[in-house]
Amino acid sequence: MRKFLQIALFVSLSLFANAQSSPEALKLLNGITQKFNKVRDYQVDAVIDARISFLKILPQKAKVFYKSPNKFHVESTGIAILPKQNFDQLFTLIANENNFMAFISGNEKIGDAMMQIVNVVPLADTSDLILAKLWVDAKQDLIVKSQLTTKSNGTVLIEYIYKTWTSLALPDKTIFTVDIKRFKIPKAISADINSKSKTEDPTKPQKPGRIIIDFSNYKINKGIDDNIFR
Amino acid sequence: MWAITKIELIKIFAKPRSYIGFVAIAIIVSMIHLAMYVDGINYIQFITNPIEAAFNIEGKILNGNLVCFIILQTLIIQIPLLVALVTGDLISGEAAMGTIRLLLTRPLSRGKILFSKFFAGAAYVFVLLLWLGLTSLGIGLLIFGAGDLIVLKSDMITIIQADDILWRFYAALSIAFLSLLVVASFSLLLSCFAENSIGPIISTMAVIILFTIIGAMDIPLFDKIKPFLFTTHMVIWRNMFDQVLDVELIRNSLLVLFAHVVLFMSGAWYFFNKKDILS
Repeated sequence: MRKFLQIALFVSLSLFANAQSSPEALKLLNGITQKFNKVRDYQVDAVIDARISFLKILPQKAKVFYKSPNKFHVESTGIAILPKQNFDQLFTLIANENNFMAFISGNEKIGDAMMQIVNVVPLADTSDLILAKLWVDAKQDLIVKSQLTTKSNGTVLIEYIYKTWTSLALPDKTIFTVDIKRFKIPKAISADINSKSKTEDPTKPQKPGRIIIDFSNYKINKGIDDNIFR
Repeated sequence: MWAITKIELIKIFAKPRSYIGFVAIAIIVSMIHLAMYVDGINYIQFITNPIEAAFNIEGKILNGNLVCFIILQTLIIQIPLLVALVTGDLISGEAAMGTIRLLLTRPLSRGKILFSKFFAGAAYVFVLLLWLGLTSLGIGLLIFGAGDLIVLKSDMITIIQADDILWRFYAALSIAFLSLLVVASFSLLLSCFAENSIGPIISTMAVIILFTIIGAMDIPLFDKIKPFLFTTHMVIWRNMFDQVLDVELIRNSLLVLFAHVVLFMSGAWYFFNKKDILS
């Protein structure tokens, strides 16, 4: 059903592909892009906390590297669970006006501030992203929340919390909420021979998985060797 | 007691069959190391596929800790059989060779003789586990290096950080030692009734296989029986690899295993004292 809705949404939005983006939406996105364009590269310490029903893992320390326009690398001391979407994916998409069509679809209050909701549709049919719905703080030129509908991973909700680097649109915390499927493998494979199987109601929806990433100690525009991204 | 235990140990290690376990472990461990070295990435992808459908996994998944854990899981059924091969022979082997009559003419109580055999069997189990630990973890870490451990259960995945693993392996091997003592004492008990080694060895193997099958089957009737089977508690070593340890569950299983050792050795002591030596 969800896949059908995604296709229906994609087809209906494709009908507007020849239509131009709304100037208000473009103005909002340009403000964000100009802010982020000040960042040529950054390196930041991250603590990745994956909260997924079938996965037990302690928060993991990592280093995140970014170099403009689209180089991205995560280096963790151990095993870290990360969202499929790179942290800079949105900025890469909205950096070029020719890559997408955008229009404002309404307003919504988040906290004390009123956000404008901008829908962004990538024009390339090869893109995994079908639709990005962005909640934009127009006063500060910041994306505070985004909902990405993708072909391969369903819907991903991303919340951004800014404190230290509001001026460069770099978040201190990012929360990814992802739809996940039920996890079950045969006991013979897991060699979990004596465990008792939990009887779960298959009609009960699976709790979405959350990945909370805390960023600290940003090193911005200090230069990063390209070898790190290999 | 130590002197007589030492003699029993010499007897154990003088028999070629005592080395079957070491050779079998070396072959199985080498095969798994080789398979993981050549094609480990594909195997790991099979494990991580359910997570990678929604997330990316960063870090070194294929490492010595994971390979050691896979080996321990694989050998969980086989090692008790390798132990029974030696401990099932301790009394019945003497009966079959006709040396038990001579042994019991010595100025030692039957209890002392029985327990010296048990302690020698325990020492054999300890050395066998040490060999397993050295080959699987030691060589595994040398080949694949250290790293976080992914523990796979049928409905759960646990990831344990590298610096939190080693003590869990020590604890798991210690629990495995107690588990194998149950097998050793059980086969020693059966050994008291037999005049040849085949009976106790095969009987021990049959009981372990039967109990393991019952434990693996999700049938409500068996659920009532499972807590009374020692094989249910023998796999409690896996719980050492939970993110948060269920201390009560582990303690209860250890008590059950210990009670089995006491029960089997008490039975062995009673029947060995009453045994008519006819051979």
